[in-house]
Amino acid sequence: MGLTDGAAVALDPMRPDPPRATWDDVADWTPWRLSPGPDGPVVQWVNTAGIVFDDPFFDQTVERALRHPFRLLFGARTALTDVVADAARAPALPVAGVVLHLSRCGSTLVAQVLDALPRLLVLSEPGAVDTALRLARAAHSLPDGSVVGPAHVRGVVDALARPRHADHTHCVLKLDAWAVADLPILRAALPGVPWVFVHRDGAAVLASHRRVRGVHVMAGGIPGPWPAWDPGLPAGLDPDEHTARVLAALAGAALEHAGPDGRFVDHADLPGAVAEVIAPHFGLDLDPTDRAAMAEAGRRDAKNPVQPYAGALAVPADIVAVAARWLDPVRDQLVAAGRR
Amino acid sequence: MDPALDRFRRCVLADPGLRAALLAEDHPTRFAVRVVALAHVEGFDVDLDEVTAALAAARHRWLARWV
Repeated sequence: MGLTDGAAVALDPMRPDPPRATWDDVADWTPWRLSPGPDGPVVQWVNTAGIVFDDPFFDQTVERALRHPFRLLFGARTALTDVVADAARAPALPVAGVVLHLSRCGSTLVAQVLDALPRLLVLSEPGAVDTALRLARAAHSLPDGSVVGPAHVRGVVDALARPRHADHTHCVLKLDAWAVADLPILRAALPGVPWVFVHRDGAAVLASHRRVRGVHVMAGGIPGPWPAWDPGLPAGLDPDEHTARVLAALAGAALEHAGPDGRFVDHADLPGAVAEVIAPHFGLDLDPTDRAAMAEAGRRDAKNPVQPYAGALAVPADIVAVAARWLDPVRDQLVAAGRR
Repeated sequence: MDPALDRFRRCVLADPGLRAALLAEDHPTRFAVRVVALAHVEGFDVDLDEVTAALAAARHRWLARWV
């Protein structure tokens, strides 16, 4: 049985032991979480009928949806394997491109400027894709003896990428910063889909992380198996150095996979580069109306779109030295790659 | 046997009309009353306190999802 023909599914994503029922209206549902379970990974869904996906982050849209008591009380669950089996039969938007990034470098701005195009469904850091990548990286075992792989990642992406509005023709995925380490899995899951890697002056990125550290730059901050680069970092590093070395590894992962499907975009060239570099790389033709909408979106604070952008943080002098040692060399390579 | 609320949930997820009727009410208290009323129409003896408690528990699980 599949989602599209009345699959047996479990209800209420919040319940530890939900009952089973039928559910055949998959277009109104969005997978918001994937988690391992005793009978295999489980996808949790929220009803998103009528919800506009325009928040800076996917989780914010889910949170907004769950403010409605119906969506809170009447959720659904399916096995990951069922999602994959059904993905090919349910209509999914083609993925125009994937936005990868160094973190704190304007990738949310990129997503918000792309989101100004009504034909795009922009999904910013959906947790289910992150978990699918992590399970694939770990070759997580499934009850039938197989393991989670690129096909499961693709199934989750397709389940997310269903049209949420009549104007939608394509989807753009912006992923978490550490997803760049999973580019081989991503490229196998989404063959031929172009990607960009957004980067920025290392000292500015470090200054932002010193203010509020991202989970990926904290030792042990992300549970489960790490990308291969993390175990190489010694324990007990100064937090700024640890951060810089993780960021250097992320940049190195992007450079390792440089090729025709990947473009490197400097924060300094934003927001203009979204229309001039990223859109054409993603195969998006822009008319004057599109460009005007994108320019307007580019003037707002990406993480708080009701506010105009207030500018970057000041960079403390000691950060500059850490960046010079660990990030400037790889930053030079990223800038050079962006010119090719 | 599953509690009446769980059986009503199955019924709702299989019925677009019930889903629309419940989505049309976003006030938590009035929503809970509507759940009880629609459940009774469908033949399920659902208690208002049960619905209210289920909503509170779901909200708590959402807030504590990463803990």
